[in-house]
This record gives sequence, structure tokens and C-alpha cells, in this order.
Amino acid sequence: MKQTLVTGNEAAAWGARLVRAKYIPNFPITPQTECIETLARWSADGELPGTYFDRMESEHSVMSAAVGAAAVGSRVFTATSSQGLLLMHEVLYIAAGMRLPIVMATISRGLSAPVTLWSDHNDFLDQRDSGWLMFHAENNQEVLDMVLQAYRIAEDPRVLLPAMVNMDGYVLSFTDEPIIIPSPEQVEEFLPEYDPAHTIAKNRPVTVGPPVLDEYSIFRAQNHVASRNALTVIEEVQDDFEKIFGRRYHLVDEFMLEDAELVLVTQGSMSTTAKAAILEMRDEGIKVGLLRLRIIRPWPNEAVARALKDAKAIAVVDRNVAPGKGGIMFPEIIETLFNLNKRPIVSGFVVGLGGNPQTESKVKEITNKLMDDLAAGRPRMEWNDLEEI
Amino acid sequence: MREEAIPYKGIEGIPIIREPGSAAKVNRGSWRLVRPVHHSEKCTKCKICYTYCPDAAINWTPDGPEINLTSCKGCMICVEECPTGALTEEKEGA
Repeated sequence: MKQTLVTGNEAAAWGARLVRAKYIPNFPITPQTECIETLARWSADGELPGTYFDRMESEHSVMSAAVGAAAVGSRVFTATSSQGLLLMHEVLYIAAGMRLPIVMATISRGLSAPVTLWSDHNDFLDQRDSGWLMFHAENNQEVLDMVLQAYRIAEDPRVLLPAMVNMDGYVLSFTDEPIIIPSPEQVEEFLPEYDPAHTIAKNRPVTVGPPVLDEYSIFRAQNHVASRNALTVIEEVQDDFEKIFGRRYHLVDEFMLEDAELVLVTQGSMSTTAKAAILEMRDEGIKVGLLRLRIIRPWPNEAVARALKDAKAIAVVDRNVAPGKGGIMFPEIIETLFNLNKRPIVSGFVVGLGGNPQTESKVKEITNKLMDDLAAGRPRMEWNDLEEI
Repeated sequence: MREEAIPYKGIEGIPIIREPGSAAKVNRGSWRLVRPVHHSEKCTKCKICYTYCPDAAINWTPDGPEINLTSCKGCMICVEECPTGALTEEKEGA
């Protein structure tokens, strides 16, 4: 165990190294490149014994190769961003449908056109219905921890689904943060070798993912149930994780919610900025708190509803947009709260697209607008970061 | 919110076929619309049909080709390729 400065990309690479991933198919793309470069360097230096580091010609091939390797029972890691993630999209459903516990770090970057290299969450959230487990980290420590946890959760016989661990491009991927890197022995204790009962082996020839007729719905339902099971497994693994690593994560991240009348709902690295702004607003006597969504799929509806049930007004801050609709998580929050006896006002804010900076002053501005909405008794849907061009 | 409880089937709920070679027990030619018919008097046993069949639905015997109709999908490539007209097309159920 050692504390050291690493970027988000390196934290994800450390995760792959510590879980002893057997196969790492990869294709570089900004801002994921440094994650792959780190693994390439370790591979060339002989620091990844027993790992096949495989350079591919596209992300579609990367995920196809990942499916093949996972189907013969290997522990697989890969990473991608933005357009690369979209190119994988077709194969993501196959990985989930075949119930292969691949773990992938996704480093969020806005989608073309126009081209941006900077972060927003449209690439990640575009995979929302693919059947994968989707975790979103706030900082580099959580990136590493969630890669470790993702394998344990994904490989659980009650789940057997692939998992994505998302971090925000640049803000985390290229920023050094002090994190604790656990020892290989600790990780081995937390995560034993992967020994699947359903994959292809020399003495167990099987056909994975064949065409079906009437049974299709049964298998889709099993994908759904497995994902719902993951909610239980995520909570269960925290005891072991805390015992070995001394840290614990919850289904949702609650910040100053006990007496909060106003609540901001955020995702990813902007939550850290928002938390700092909230501390300042608390000094001014504003009863504001924050709920960070860290598990997107399976959707922790009960945890979200419990955390938000006493709020008077909620601002869902989406770093993404579904054109023609609005923020992607905005309707998910409304749907989750719809059956509460006492419904709060829920406003939606689209912010920070293409890396548009999320400053503390913007967080305060959103909170002020939310206060206005509460006073007026009317929610809003607003595009917050438009500036005069 | 009430959620319908769907039982979790474990690895039985994963779409895999565990029995090797189980396709041999299924009639894979049930949706064929036309079939190839062999006329041994015209056959020179050149094996072109046997080589060209994309589904390995033609077995080779000392008497020439034998069409496996549980495997043949009726693509008629063998009929197209036969240089002597020893294979002809016939409608199914005609």
C-alpha cells in the first residue's frame, strides 16, 4: 500500500494491473490514451506477467476481442472515450447479452460534431440501455476503487454482467491526485481469480449467444434481473472492501442532505466543485445539499428516493443533453420521485457541455435560481452555460 | 414502487448451448423453398457441387453426391455450378 500522485488514467491502469487482467485489447483515443500508454509501458517492461496486451485496429475490434476473450473465461480490461465508445456500441449489447463480466474504464469526452476533446457525459450515458453496469467516479481514488469493485460485482454469479467505470476526461484523466494504491496481496484477498461456470473451455465446448426464437424475452429479462441483483451485491461487497482497504461507498453519495431544503443532483467530478460551493452557501445559512449519482445502472431508485424525499426543491444538473428532450438524468429523477406522497419541485439544468467549466459561482447561480423556482412554485428546464458568442 | 419479481435462473438464464453438435438433431432445412435433385446418368463425379456447397450439405459417396436435406437451405449454388446439368432445381411441396 502506498500513497502517490496519479492521474485518473493511471488510476484506471493501476486497477487493471492489480486485478491481474489476463487480456487487454486496446485502441488509443484522447483522453483515454494515457491509460493505454501506461499499460503499454508496464507490459513492455515485463511488469504485467500473464497479461496479453493486444493492439487492435478499431474500438469495434477491441470490444469484439474482449467478448471473445471473456467467453473463454479470461479477466478482460479495456478503456475508451467518446467516438471510440460509440464505435463499440453494437458489441456492448453482445457482451451484456452473453453475460461476460468485462470491465472497461470510460473517460468521458463530448461527441462530434463539432469536435471537442473535452468532457461531458453524452458518450457514457449513450450506453445507458446496453445492459452494462455503469459506475461514475468523482475522483481518482474512486476510479481505482471502482475498477477493483467492478470486477468483484461483475463476476458475482448473481450478476455476470460487464461494467463501465466512468471518469471525466481532462478534469480527472489528466489531473494528478494523491491516491492510495493498495498492495497486490490486498487486491488478491478482495478479488480471487475469475472462475466462470458458463464460458467455453477445452473440456466444455459450448455455443455462446446463439440465435433464439421465443426465448428471447426470457434472456432479456435475465439481463434485467442480473442488473437489479447487482444493487444487492454492490452493497454487500462494501464490508469486505472496507475491511481490506478502509474505504466504503454507498449506492448514492449524499452530502449535507440531513436538513437540506434545496438539493443539487450531480454526476462525476463537478460534484467536488459543487460540494465546495455548498459549504460556502451553508455559511450563509442556505439549507442546500447534494446528491451525487455514482451508479447509473442498475438505477438505485430506492436510495435516490430515500435521499430526496425531504427536499423541497431539486436541481438536476446534467452534463449532457438529449436534444429535443433536455438533460438525460432529469426525467430519471422525476420518474423516481413521482410516486412520493409529497413531491418536490424538480428543475433541470444542462451545464458544462464540451468541458465548459463548472465553477463554484455557477453552482451558486443554479442554487439561486432553484430558490426562485421554489418561491414561484414552478420548476424550469434551462441551458445554463450559454454565453454570448 | 412495486416491481414484478422475475426469478433469477443463474447460468441457466444465459443464452448458451451446452451440448456440442446438437444442431445435427435439428432439421435446419425446414424453410427451404426449392431443392436440388441429382440425376446420376448425367453426373461425371467431378465433385464441383461438393466443393461449392456453402453449408456442407452434400455428402460424397462412391455413387456421387448425396444431398443432406436436413441441412440444405436450397440456395441452388450446386445447380448453378454443375457443368453437366446433373443437378436441377425442384420446388418444395410441388
